[in-house]
Amino acid sequence: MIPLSIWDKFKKIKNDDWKSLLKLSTDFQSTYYFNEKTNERFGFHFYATLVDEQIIQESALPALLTKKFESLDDLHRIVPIADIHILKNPRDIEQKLLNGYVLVTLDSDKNRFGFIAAQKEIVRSLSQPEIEFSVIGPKEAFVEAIGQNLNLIRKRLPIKELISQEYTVGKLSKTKVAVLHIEGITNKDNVDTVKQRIKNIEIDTISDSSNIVELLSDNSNSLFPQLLDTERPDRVAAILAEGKIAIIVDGSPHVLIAPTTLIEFFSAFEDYFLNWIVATFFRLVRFFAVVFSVLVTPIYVAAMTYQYELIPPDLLGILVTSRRTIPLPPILEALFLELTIELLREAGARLPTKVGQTIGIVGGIVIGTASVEAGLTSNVLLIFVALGALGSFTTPVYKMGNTIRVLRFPFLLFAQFWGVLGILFCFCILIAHLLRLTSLGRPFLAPIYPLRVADMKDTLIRAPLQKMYRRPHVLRTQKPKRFNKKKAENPKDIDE
Amino acid sequence: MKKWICVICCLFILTGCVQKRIIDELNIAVATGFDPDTSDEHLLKTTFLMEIFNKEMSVENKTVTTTGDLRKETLYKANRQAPSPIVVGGLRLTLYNIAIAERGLTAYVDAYQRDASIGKRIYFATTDSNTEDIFKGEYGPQGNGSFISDLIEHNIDYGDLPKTNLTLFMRDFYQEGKDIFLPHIKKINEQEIELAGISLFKDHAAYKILPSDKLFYFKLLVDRYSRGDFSIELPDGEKVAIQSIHSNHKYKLDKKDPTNITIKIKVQGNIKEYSGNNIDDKKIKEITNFINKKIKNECLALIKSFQEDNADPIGLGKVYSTKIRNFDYKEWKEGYPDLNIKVDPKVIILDTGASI
Amino acid sequence: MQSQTIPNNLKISPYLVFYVMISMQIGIGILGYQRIIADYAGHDAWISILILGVYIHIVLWMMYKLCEMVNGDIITVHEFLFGRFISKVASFAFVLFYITYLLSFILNFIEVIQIWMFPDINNFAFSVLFLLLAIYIVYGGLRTVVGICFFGTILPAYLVFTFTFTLKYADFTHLLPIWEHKFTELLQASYHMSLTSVGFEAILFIYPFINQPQKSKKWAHIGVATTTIFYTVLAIIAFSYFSKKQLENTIWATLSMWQMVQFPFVERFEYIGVANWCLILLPNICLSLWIASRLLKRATKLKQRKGAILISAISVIIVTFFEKGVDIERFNQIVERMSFAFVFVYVPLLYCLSLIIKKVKKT
Repeated sequence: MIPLSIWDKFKKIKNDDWKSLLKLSTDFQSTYYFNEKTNERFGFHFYATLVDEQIIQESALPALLTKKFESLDDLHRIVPIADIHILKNPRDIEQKLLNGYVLVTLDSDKNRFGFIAAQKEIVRSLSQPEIEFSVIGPKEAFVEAIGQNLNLIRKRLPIKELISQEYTVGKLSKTKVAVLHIEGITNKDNVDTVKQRIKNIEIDTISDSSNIVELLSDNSNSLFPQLLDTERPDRVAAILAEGKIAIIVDGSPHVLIAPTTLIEFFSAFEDYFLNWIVATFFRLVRFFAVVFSVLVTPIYVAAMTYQYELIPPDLLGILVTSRRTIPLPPILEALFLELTIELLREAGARLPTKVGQTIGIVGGIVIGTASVEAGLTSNVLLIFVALGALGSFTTPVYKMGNTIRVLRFPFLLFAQFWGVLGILFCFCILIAHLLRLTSLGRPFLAPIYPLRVADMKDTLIRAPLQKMYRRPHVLRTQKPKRFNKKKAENPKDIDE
Repeated sequence: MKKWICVICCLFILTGCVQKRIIDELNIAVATGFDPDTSDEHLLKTTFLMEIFNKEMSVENKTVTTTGDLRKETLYKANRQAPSPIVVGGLRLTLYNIAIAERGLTAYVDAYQRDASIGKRIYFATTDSNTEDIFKGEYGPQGNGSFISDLIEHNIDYGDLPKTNLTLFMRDFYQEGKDIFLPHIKKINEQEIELAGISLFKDHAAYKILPSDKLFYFKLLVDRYSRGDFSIELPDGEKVAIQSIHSNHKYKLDKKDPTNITIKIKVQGNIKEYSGNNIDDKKIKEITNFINKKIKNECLALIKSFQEDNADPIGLGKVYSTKIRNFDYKEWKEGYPDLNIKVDPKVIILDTGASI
Repeated sequence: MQSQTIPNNLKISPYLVFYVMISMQIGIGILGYQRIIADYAGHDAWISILILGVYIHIVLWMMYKLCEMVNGDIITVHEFLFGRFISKVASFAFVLFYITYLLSFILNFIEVIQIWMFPDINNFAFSVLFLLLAIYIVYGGLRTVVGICFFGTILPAYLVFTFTFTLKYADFTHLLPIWEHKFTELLQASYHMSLTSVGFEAILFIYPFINQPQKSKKWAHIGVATTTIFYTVLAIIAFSYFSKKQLENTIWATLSMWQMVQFPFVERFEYIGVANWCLILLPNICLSLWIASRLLKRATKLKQRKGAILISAISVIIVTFFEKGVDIERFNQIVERMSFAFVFVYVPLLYCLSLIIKKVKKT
C-alpha cells in the first residue's frame, strides 16, 4: 500500500523529498548529467523496467546533453519526442513515472517537472482467434495491449464519430478501461449507464475483462453472463455500428459488449459470413443442440424413474435391457456420467493443449466403454450424455457454454423429484429468472420479450443482410435506420 | 440468504417423497386376459402377460394368472407371484374369453376408464380359447403381446378390420343407438394365431361371431377404407384383385317416411391382378356392375341378420338420433327390425394397372 | 380523485394485454369444462360458449369504460363513486377474491397431478415451491409477471396442434341436430362456463400500468375473442370425440383427448400435457398474487414484497387443509359463484351505477 500513502505524506514534505520514497524500489533509477552548452545540471529519473532505454539513449539523452538546454520549456524544442509534458504539481510525478515517463528535473527550475514519454510496450503479435475461430472471415484477434486493440477497431471504423473514453479502474492495478461508442447512433442513456458504473467500481485489482463483466452486471448472482465478450475486432466493429457499446480493458484480449441479449450468445459471428439460409440452418441446429444438451439427461432420468409410460414400446426393450444389470438408480447413473464428462473437460482444459486433447479422447473412450462393460452405466445413457456434452460445446460464446453445462444439474435434480413435471417446473424457474435479468437495464430476453417482430430478423434466423436495414429496436438508437432500404434492394425487372 | 437455502433444502427433502417407479424394477404388463373360473361362476381368472427382455434383445413371454372377483384385486394377487411390482401403464392389449364377453363387459369398462395410467389406444379383443393358453404360445420374436396388438393394428390399417381401440370402444359402449363389436382372435396352434372375425355384441354382451370373409362388407358399412385389398370371383370364373381401396358411406333418410333409409357406399380402387385375358372398357363395366351387385347383396344380408337379431353394430340408432329432433330411442328400437334399409353401392375402378 | 402515477418504465406495452387476457382466461377449467356444460346443454353447449363470449365482450367494454372514467383501477373507481371507506372495503374483498382464485388453481392442479401422475405428491411441498416461484416472479414487478403471461401463452401454444390427433377419431355427427336444447338450458350452460372464462377482469387492476390504455382495448378484445373461439373449437372437438354418456363419465375431457396423441418418441402424451400445465397455470397464479398483494398495499400501506409473502403463506396454510377431492369440488362451486357474481353481475351493475352517479354529480 506504499504508493497510496505516499501523497498523504507529500503534503507535508518538501518538493524534493519524493525521491526518498520512490527509491525503495530497486528498479527506480535516478542519475544527473551536465549540459554541454550551458553546463546546467539536470536529473533523469525513471523506472528502468517501464521505459524503453533505447528511446532514452538514442533520442532523449543525446539531445539534452548536446543542445542548448536552459529551461524546461526547451524540452519541446530539443527533444525529438512528441509526448512531452511540463507540470508543476509534484503529485503527478508518481503516476507519470509509473506510466512509463521519464522525469527530467533541472536544478535551476525546481518548481517544475518535465516528462518525456518513453514507454516500453511489450506487445504480443496478433494471433488467430482461438475461441471464436471461424473458417471464413478475418483471422485477427485482440491482444492484451489496449492501444493495439483500439487500433484494430479504429481501422475498421475510420470515422470521427467513434468516441473512446478512458477510465482507470482498480486502486492498485490502475487498469485502463476504454468505453467505445459511436456518437449519433448509440443511445446516450446506455453510454451514461456504462460510464457511471465504471466510475463507481470500487476494487483493488482488475485481472481481466471478466472482472469488469462481474462488476458491471445487473445481477451478478446470475448463472448467465450479461455482457458479451469477444476476441474478434470485426465483431466489435459490427456491433458498435449496431448501436452498442464496447468496453476494452487493458491487459485483456476480450472486449466486452453491452447491452446484450440471450439470443446474441447463440449467434456465431461466422453466421454473417455464410449464406443466410445456411447460417439460419446452423443457428437452428445450434439452438436445438443447446436445448437437447440441457434436457436430454433430465428426460432420461424422469422417464426411467417415474414415467415409464412415456417410452414407446419399441424403445422400451432397449432401455430395459440396457439398465437391467445396473445397480445405481437412474439419477446416480446420470450424475456419474455427467460428472465424468465434466472431469474430462476440466482435465483437458487444465493440461497443455496436446496432452489435453489426448486425455479427452482416450479418457472418453476408455472410461465410457469400461463403465458400460462393468455394468455401472447403461450404454443408452452414455450416448445421451456424450451427445449432450457435444451439444453444449456448440455455443459460440465460451462463457455461455459453461452456463449450459451447469444448467443441466438443477434440471437433473428436479427430474429426480417430480419427473417430467419437475423438468417443466425447473423450466418455469429458468424462464422467470431470464425474464428478470437485464443487461444495462435492457431486457435480456429481447426481442422475444418484449416482442419485437422487426428485431427477430437476427435471432433464431439470420435474415439476409439487406433485410436488416434497421438497428435493433431494443437498443433505442438515435438513428434507427442503418442504410437506405430502397437503394440496397436495387429492384430490377426481368431482362433489364 | 442462508435462511432461504435452508428452506429450499427442506423442500427438496419433502418433495423427494413421491413414489418412484424405476423402469428396470417393474414388471410392465403388455397384455391382460380374462377367463371364467371353472370352480366358481363369480370368480374371474386374470392373466397378465409380461415381456421379459433378454440381453440378446429377444423377448420371453411370462404370464401370471390369478383369480379374484375384482379386476384390481387380481392385480394385487398377481404381485404375490412376481419378483417386482406389476404395472399396467404399458398395456397394449386385453383379451376376453368369449365366455366372459357373453356375460357382458360392463363390469370391466370402469377400471379401464378410471385408471389414468392405462393408455387409451390399447386394443380389446375376444377369443375362443383360454387367454392364458394364447399368451403362452410362441408366435414371433417380438413377444406375444406386441405380436397380437400389431396383428390387429395392421389389419385396421391395411385390412378389413374396422377401426377399433379402447377409446372407440368406450365411445360406442356409452353411445345410445350403437352396439359394440370387437376383433376376434383364434389360436390355430402353438406357433400360429389368426384374426378370425369380429364378435358382435348386443346390450354389451357378445352374441355372435362374424366370420372374417364378411369383414370386407362390414367395414364398408361401419368405417372408411383408406387402404385395403379385395379379391372377388367373377361369374365367368375369372378372378380379379382390387387394391388400394378408398371407401366411404353416407346415410340418406327418406324425408317423408323416415323408416326408409338408404346407405350409400362409394368404393374406389385399382385393379391389380386379373386372371383372365385383357381388360377393356366393357370388361371394366362388367366387373364394376358385378362388384356393385355383390356388395349390395352381401351388405343387405348382413343388415338383415342384424335386424333379425335386433342388434345394431352399424349404429343406425345413432344416425337417426342425429337426423331427427327429440329422438326417442326406445320407440325407435322397437321399430328397428322393420326398418326398410337399402344399400346403394357405387364402385369406381380408377385404373387397371400398367398393362391393358 | 386521486389516481396513482406509475413511472413509464414500469408500464407494459398495449399489445401485451392480449397475452394477459389469454393466459388469465385459460387456467385449470379448460381441462374439463366440456363435461360440465354438456350436462346442461348436451351437444349444443358450444353455442353457450359463444353466448357467454358475446357477454364477455360487453363486460370487458364496461370495464374499460369504468377505468377510463377515473383513469385508474377499480379501487379508484370505488373511491370516486362511493368514497374512501367503501373503496377500502372493496380492496379487502378483492384481496380475498384473488386469494380464493389463486387457491382454486393450486388445489385443482394438485388434484390433477394426484390423479394423472403422482398419487402421493405432497401438496404442502408442491404449493410452497410453486408459490416461492410465484413470489420470485412477482418481485420482478408487473413487467416480469406479464412476461410470464407472454411465455405462458406462447410456449404451450404448440399444444393446440396436438388436438389434431383427435380429429382422426372425431365424429362430427355427434353435434347434430343443432339447437336441440332450450334456450334456458343453453344459458344454464353459459353460467357454468363462467368459471372457465373469467380471468379477464385482471384488466380492472392492471389498467393504470398499461402504456396508452386506449390502444390496449383492441388487444384485450382480440384476446378474449381468441379464447372464446378456442374454447368453442375445443368443445366441438370434445363433443365429436366423446359420445354423450362417455363425456358424462369423463372429468378431464381435454386430458383424456390427449390420450390419443402419440409421437414416435412419446408414447403417452397426456403426461407431457399435464406437466405443461405448470407453465399455463403460472401466469394465473403470479398475476393473482400480484393483484392481491398490490391491493393489500393500497389498502394498508403494507409493502408489496411482504404482502406477497403473507398472501402466499395464508394460501399454503389453507391448501394443507384440503385433502379430499369432494372438498375441492365444493370449493370450486364457491369460486364459481363468487367469480360470476363479481365479473358478470357486479361489474355491469357498477357500470350502470357510475352512469347515474356521474349524471347526478353533473347536475
